[in-house]
Amino acid sequence: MTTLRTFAFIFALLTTSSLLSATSLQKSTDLLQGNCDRPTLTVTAEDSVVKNATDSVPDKKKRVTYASKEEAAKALEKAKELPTFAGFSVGFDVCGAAMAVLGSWGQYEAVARANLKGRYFPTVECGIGYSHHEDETTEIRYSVNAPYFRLGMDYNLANDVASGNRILLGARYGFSSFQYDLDGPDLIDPVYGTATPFHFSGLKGCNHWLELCAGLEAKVVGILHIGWSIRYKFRISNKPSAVGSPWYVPGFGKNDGHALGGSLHILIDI
Amino acid sequence: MKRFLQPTLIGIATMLLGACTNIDCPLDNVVMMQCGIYDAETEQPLTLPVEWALSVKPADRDTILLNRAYGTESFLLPLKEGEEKDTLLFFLAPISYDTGGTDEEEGTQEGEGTENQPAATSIEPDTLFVNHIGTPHFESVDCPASVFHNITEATTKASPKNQLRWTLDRVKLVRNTVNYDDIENLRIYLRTTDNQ
Repeated sequence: MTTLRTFAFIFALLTTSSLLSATSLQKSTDLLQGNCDRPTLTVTAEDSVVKNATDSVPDKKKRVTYASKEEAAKALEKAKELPTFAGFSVGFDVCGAAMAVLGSWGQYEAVARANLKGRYFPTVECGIGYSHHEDETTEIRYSVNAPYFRLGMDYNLANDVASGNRILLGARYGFSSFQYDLDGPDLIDPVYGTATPFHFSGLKGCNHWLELCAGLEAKVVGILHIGWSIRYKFRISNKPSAVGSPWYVPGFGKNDGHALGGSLHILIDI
Repeated sequence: MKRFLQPTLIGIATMLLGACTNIDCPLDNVVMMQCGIYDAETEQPLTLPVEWALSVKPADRDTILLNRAYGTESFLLPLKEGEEKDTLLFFLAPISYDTGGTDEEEGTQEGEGTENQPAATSIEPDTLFVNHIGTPHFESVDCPASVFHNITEATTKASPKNQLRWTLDRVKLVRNTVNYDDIENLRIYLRTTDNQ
């Protein structure tokens, strides 16, 4: 039931994000098709004089002369290009926080990334993974509260890099070194009837993993962006403790050779 | 409508995939020591003849750990979880020997034997000593915890009063770790005696 509520909440956020991104995408499409009301530069073959296509911005008429159509097209294209360092964004993950509150585990994660020409986004993600779970059948309690780090890069596949709406493909390297606690009822020998205590604290774990990410991001208003991503994670290193491997790894999820996850980021351009 | 349908569907698929959970608990939840039977002279696997039955019990109680196994070349034995030494008594007797069940006609009780069917436990057993260190093992919060063992030493002692055909000759430790894996831990070598 808790898992169902978690994902209903996340679905509501994703739907909202998708609706907002659809509105922005519609505007971008209109721009590309020339259906917007912004002024455009046009060149006629006869006199090679640029004219304004519309009178919607009467006070800011700007006349620029180009020698040919090709030069005007190049100038327009260059105007759309972003500088090498086009900005910096910070944000946080809503999905992980919701899971930490509503589910068996989750993480509180912050994101920082740079914008290089609107195409490349080197990203640093760090957070605290949290789990305090007791299974109702086995009565085993698992507790962990530890940081994790991810380093990676996203690439924007969208045509219009200036619009702020992005189709992102990326990769991450993740790492977490943590301590966890295990507690449960005594183990009763089924043959001899003796009891063995089952209480451990400060068990150490260390995991390294890689992630492949794909997602969408929309510019909501001004400097505010919302984006979500799907992540396929595969573990490259796992250090078990004396009693076995950890159950939940901060930043990775349920400990296994691979895992599937997602994120919903709210970002602010700085 | 179509423009946000695709990202929304992808988002739903992501959640559904993420919502799927599976429990990877091992099917075996009892940890047993794997023992193989070998011929002491040829050092080849030996299948117990169907005329002979092997029973094993701990030295300090009446629990039967292995009850009249025959026609087999391996068997499983549990180790104590709360202690570091197991002393196991091996009764390797003809299958006709009485080791259990109540015979209403004869009026005997379990293991008492009769004049024509001696009790298997009346013979002198051979002894297997196993020293081990037990460690609790955690798999997942969904799975019950168990105890794995690390065998440090295994020795045998043949009874000098054993008047039967087969007796324990020696034991060889081939794998120290006793866990869920079906991998042989001990090789128990049987030799024939001059007795019939």
